Amino acid sequence: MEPILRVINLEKIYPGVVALKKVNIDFYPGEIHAIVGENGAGKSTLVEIISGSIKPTGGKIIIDGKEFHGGVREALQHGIAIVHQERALVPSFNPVQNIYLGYEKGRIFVDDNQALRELKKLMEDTGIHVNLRIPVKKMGEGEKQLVEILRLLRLRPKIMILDEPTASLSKDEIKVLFSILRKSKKQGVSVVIITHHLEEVFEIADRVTVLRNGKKVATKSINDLDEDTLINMMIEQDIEARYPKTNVPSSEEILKLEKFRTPDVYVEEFEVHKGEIVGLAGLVGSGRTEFLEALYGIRRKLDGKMYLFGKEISIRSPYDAIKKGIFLIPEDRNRKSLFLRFNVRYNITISFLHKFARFFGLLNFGSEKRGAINALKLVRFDINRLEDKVKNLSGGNKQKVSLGRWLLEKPVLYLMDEPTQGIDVGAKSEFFQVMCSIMNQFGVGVILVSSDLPELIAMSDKIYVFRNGMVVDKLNREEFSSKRILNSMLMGKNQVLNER
Amino acid sequence: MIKSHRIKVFWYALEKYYTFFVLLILILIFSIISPMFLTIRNIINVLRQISMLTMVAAGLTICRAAGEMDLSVGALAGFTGVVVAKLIVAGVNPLISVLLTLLLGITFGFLNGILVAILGVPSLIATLGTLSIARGAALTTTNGKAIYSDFPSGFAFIGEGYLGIIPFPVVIMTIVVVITYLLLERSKLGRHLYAVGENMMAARLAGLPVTFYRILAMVLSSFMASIAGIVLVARLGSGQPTAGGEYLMEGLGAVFIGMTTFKPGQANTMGTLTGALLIGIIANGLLLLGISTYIQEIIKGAIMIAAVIAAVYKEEINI
Repeated sequence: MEPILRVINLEKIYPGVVALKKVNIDFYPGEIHAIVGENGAGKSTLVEIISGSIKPTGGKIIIDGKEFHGGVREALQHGIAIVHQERALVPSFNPVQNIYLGYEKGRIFVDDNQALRELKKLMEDTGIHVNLRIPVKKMGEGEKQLVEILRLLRLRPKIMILDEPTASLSKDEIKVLFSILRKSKKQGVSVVIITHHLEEVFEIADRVTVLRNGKKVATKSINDLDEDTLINMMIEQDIEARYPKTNVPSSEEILKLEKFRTPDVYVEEFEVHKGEIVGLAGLVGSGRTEFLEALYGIRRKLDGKMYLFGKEISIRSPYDAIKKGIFLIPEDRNRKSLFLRFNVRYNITISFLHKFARFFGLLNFGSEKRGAINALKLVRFDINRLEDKVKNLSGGNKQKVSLGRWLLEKPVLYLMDEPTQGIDVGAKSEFFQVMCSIMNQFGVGVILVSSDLPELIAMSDKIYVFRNGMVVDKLNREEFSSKRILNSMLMGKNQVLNER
Repeated sequence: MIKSHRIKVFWYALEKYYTFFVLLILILIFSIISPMFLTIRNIINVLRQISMLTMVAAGLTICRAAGEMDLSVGALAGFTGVVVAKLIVAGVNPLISVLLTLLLGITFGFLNGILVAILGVPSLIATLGTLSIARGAALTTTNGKAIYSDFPSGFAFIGEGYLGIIPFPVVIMTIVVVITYLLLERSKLGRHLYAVGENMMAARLAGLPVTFYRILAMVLSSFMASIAGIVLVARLGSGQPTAGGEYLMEGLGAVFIGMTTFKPGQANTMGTLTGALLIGIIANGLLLLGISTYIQEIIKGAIMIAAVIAAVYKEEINI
């Protein structure tokens, strides 16, 4: 069979960074082709070039035997459509207006009703259902993703590209999506999918291309692969080293809560010891983030007692928490933690600038720099990048900056909310190594929120399971089982433990 | 390899200081065309002309650094101007008049800050409202008429005095610029203001008192506008209720031109000074060339747009 899309010696060089280096891949009609690799491996760059939104600096793209010279409209004319990793929707438009943006029905006046009828039929055919009447900004992330997928399907492309389409979808929605992809494949569509979830690759892909540092490692048929081989191709690293747990919990108590109540959460009792990682399991919206934010003083506490080293404390603002050595590493670091256009040094020292202030609050840049370097060494960040803008860093390095900020003063307790979200496998294990070495050095405790259950089980010393704002189960390390945790998360197995 | 590195450094510098080079080139062109241009007298004249504008623009720079906007500065300069004139005419000690007026300016900024940081009105809208209030207050205070008087010599010195050959408004401008520079670039406070402007949520989670800084930014902006208003009256020798209006547009122009240089993409003191100088030198040079003030307006607008286009383009290729 002839390939429908050929990528030949494709290259993309940014000033100082090689994003893609001489990549050759053939894509065939009627196949699902997964592209995997760590963050920064070049996956998104590759598909952005194919879909015409980024211009390559070298190489060729051949579609159906004809050379493609870039441009989003041209790509669409060639039958290439993409669901980007970032949302590309107009927030105030409803799904109909979004999906038909640029393809409005009607001659002079826009006829949304005709579009609506067409769209309803498409939803029936595909089994994807979204509310067509509300603006997309009122939708959850999963529903927005479905709107994007509907837009892609409406275009009836010959080549469809999906850049991490499953990240915000539920299990059922993923099932529907995959059945649509299989159907499209049968109709001769060439499907290209990027995903971080390897089990999805094995579920749906026919062939897999692995990228590493902008270079192609290999393209293989899925039948010739197993998960370990695939990971090793991605990272050149042993699978055992993925979750390096070296922290040693002691019996000394750091934090203790009694009947802790906020508008969203109720926790009867809760303890963190020195050197201990306390995992919080639960679905999105189960109150874990709200719990951390209440401990950090962003959310109101209604009643209950909070003890730090046995002394009762009250935390009304992040400032209070920081003074006591309680530090939050929030989810969504780009939005909640980092100052993207600032350099690394600014980001590290922002909360403790008073340590470097002299007369009239003027800063001593020399001592600021030394302070930042000390912190960066602890998180094993390349200190040559001290003056780089944070927006140019990879996800893993950004997270190191997020953590490094909280090493200028002695940490007591870290509140970590999905710290490894959007970080690739290699950077994840590096992050945990750094975290454990800091825990051992300072005897700090960690409350870890993670939706990645294997990660939570591998790293935690005990796990509290949250459901609807309540703790429904508590497991010590020897009791860990993903089945029990899932049961509690979904069904609230142990609800009696904590009646409100 | 070393050579290409040098070229890169050169381009980087050219990009970063592009607007500054434009300023130098303009100075060169004007001094070739007009022999009057590059005389000490004329240079001092330009500096005096831009001194009040620069004070307002310095305040706006702080405001922009914290991510807010202040449209009320021009009207406030006019309002504080008539208030200080009225107080002095009423026989209040000039020094106390000035202090009271500055206090009024601070209070006005505090109200702006409350609207923005506590009640949550977007600063663009809030200060559009207070602009009108300040303007109306100025007209009400004076009944729409200018306040003429022989000001005491001590007060007139603020606007017309000299320190050596340097006019006193230029001295005040220099002090304001130096303080703003130290505040924004060298102090903890400035770093925190920039942090609030860059990412308010992250600043809050990093433990910074965000509400306080947003109010402070509005207060400092109003404070500097009040200084400019007082100097303006001392210089004009009369309190004009409609004076100061042009400081808003020109001040914003200076800040936006400033965002193209030194710290591209961010409001910064040296950039704002460059912007104010650019505006002043263009006006002065065109005047010396005998070009009508009407056409000057057009050219000024075009140059501002050109500078910002360059900045946008630079951000694009900077990624």
